[in-house]
Amino acid sequence: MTNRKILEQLRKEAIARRSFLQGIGLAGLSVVGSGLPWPGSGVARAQDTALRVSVDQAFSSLDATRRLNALSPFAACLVVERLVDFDLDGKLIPRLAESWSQPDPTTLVYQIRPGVTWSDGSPLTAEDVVWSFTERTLNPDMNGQAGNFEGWDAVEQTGDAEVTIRLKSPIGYWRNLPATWVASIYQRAQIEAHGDAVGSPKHMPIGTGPYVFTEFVPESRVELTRRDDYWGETPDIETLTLSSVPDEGTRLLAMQSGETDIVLRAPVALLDRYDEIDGVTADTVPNLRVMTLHLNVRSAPFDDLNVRKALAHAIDRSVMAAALMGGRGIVAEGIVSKFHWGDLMTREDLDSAYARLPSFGYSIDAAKQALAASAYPDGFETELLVHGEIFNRTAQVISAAVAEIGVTLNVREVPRSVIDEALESAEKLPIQLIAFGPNYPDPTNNLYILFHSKFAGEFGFNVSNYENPEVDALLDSQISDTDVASRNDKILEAMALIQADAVSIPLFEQVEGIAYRDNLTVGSFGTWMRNTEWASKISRG
Amino acid sequence: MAETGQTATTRVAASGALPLFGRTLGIAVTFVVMLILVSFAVFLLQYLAPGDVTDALIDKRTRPTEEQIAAIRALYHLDEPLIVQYGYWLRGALTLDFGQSITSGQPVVDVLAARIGLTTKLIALALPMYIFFGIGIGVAAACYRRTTLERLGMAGAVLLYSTPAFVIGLLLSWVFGVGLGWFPVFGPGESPSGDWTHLLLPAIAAATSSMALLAKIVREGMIAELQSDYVTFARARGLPERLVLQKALRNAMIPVVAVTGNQIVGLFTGTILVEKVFALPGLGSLLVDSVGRFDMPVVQGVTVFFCVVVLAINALSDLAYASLDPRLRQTRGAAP
Repeated sequence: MTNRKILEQLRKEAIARRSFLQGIGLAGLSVVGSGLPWPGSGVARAQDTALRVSVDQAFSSLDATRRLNALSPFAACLVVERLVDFDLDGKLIPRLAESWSQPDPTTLVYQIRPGVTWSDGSPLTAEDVVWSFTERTLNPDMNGQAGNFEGWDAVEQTGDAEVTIRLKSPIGYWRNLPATWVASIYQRAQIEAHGDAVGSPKHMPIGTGPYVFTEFVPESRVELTRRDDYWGETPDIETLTLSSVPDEGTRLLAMQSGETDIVLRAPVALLDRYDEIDGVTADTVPNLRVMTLHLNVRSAPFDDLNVRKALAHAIDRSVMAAALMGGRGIVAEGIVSKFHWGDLMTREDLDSAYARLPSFGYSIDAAKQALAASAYPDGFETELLVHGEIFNRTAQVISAAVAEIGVTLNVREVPRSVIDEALESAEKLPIQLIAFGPNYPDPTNNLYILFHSKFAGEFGFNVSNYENPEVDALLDSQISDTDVASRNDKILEAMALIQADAVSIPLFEQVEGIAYRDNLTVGSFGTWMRNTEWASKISRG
Repeated sequence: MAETGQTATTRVAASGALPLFGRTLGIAVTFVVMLILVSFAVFLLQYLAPGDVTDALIDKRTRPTEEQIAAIRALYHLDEPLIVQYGYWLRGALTLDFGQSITSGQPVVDVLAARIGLTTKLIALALPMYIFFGIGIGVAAACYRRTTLERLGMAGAVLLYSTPAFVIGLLLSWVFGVGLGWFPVFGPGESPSGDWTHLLLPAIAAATSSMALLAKIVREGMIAELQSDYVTFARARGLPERLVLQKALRNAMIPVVAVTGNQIVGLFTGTILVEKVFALPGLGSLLVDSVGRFDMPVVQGVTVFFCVVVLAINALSDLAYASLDPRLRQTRGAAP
């Protein structure tokens, strides 16, 4: 059986690979999706100015800085704002700072926008901004990601409406950090009065954004109401309800029954079902995670370059992307997604730069030749430990693909902790799937920790245990390089070296489904939507 | 004679009350001992579970320093021996202080309190359905033995008993939510503790499989009772059929009460899946979410709560069993 046929068969059997009980549930849903007419079926439409959104995860707190919670920022970004923000393409745009400048490589000066008020009516001051950065963003007790800001020296008020950030040394990606979640500006008075209780239903965070929180039922529902005194453009949607509906079948039923207007993070496997609903459009957006297969160069047989090349050649990424992402996947062209670059390079420049990167296209002949030239011409057997459905399915496809060149890859599902413990060990796993997402638009988000030699070995994220002094030098040097073009070149050069060594095989870029009613204009669904005031750009009609 | 008779009555009453008191005391002692054992088991489980709080609190990609990790471990007493950690935890638990939720920062008791209402309402809706339909179908099946009605009823019971609650939930949502548009398919409604219209389908889904089992048990019990000598005798003496059924049902209830205790516990655990399917913020979904996020203080709080409920229900069903079964009330002294 050819690689393509195996993958095609795997795609068809996708549901069968799921657990039996899930299969029963989905079988029920497929009947639902067939759209049998029901006499009493009535769609409960929301009012014109209300919008009901269903998401798959729960909100446990509305304090997005303090609590690591996948979806809290998604709601919080409509209420609390940052100095600067990203647009859908990852380009930096002004928010609470109307402008900013960099007088020298270690000084960043932000002019605070005049006339901004908190939702309780009090004015936003430069002092508020400094306090929020110092006491929350940079404070490891308040922010699990404070480590991202270790290059910052101080945040000071340097004028009535001026805030200055001083860096310990130049940082190439400095401009992105004030736009990340954890740099959201919270109100000092509220935090000092209520401390840990901020983020709970009794003390929902006060912000300067276009919406205010009006109701919060933890793990269930967040209701936001439009502010009429917002400094920026008033959103079209007056009330917005974000409901947590963890079961994917229930989210589909909610769309069918008319109880929801938008379903975010819909499973790609069910998007066709959403498309079949009258008046509903299903689409995908990249979720910025690149699925990559990391091969540990300290572990036999992956210490052999030819073995790594053989594996890279044996995998047909286009079929894999289609099979695993419901026909809507994107083939990964490099170990870093092009989307991660934000506005650092134009799309055309990126395309030509990526075209020059070393890659190992799908070719069973080339794979067999590489394996024949290795120390394992007759193939070998190894184990790939995975946790989570998408990793398991990806691993199964890889296993089927490499079987064609005589490599036996046994896939074993293990608890997350087993993977984490292996990550913390010096040896690490011989072979591992990774799909890290970025915090901000910059190609070095994960590149540095995944491939710099100082992260190899114990407690490091360099899962390939990759050590290349040239790569180290480039990765170190780009940090302090404030010239965009020169820094880009260094990053691309490092990527080229890493990809030539085939220690990390880029497979596909993950996408996630979005379904919405046709009567909505959704100008805000795009790559970096989670970092934007996404709901402000949605209107009815 | 009169005096002797009075003495005899007093003796019987006293000897009837004492064993019941002794039995109640025994149940209470068992309750406390079990609770201590369970609390230690719950604590031990989380101690032995892989990973720890720091995984949930720190994004390790930001390269936290060892001091940062050590500070968090010290905050949660993870750097102390197991028994000391248990001591801290038990001392708090006795005053209902289970610590703070790692994900929300709220006291665990507050998090639990916000969820108990919904799960209680759900059980309160499911329980009468479970009892009424379970007993009703069982009795009907026994009375209409060897008829198509009985076969249909029992086939339906087997089918429902073997169908997972979440599948029943999805099917109910499809028919009554999407198809007929009578009920909402998710969420608690306006009230965080659940509107009745939002809880009806979940309650049916939670009650169904337990109800099917109850129907089968009642049917077996009723058939056995209806075939026993006292029923034949009662019927021969011309006792009205209604009274005969009443007597038979009362006796058939003895095993049912014992099973019902477990079944109510089953309803609680059944809510875990049902709450997930219907997106209800109850204790079941809290437990699942907290396990996923490694929010151990909440997992411990919910588990201890469920354990208390299970132990309490078992204790109550033991007491009910004793009061229903005259043999358990009889004493050696009162025996002829």
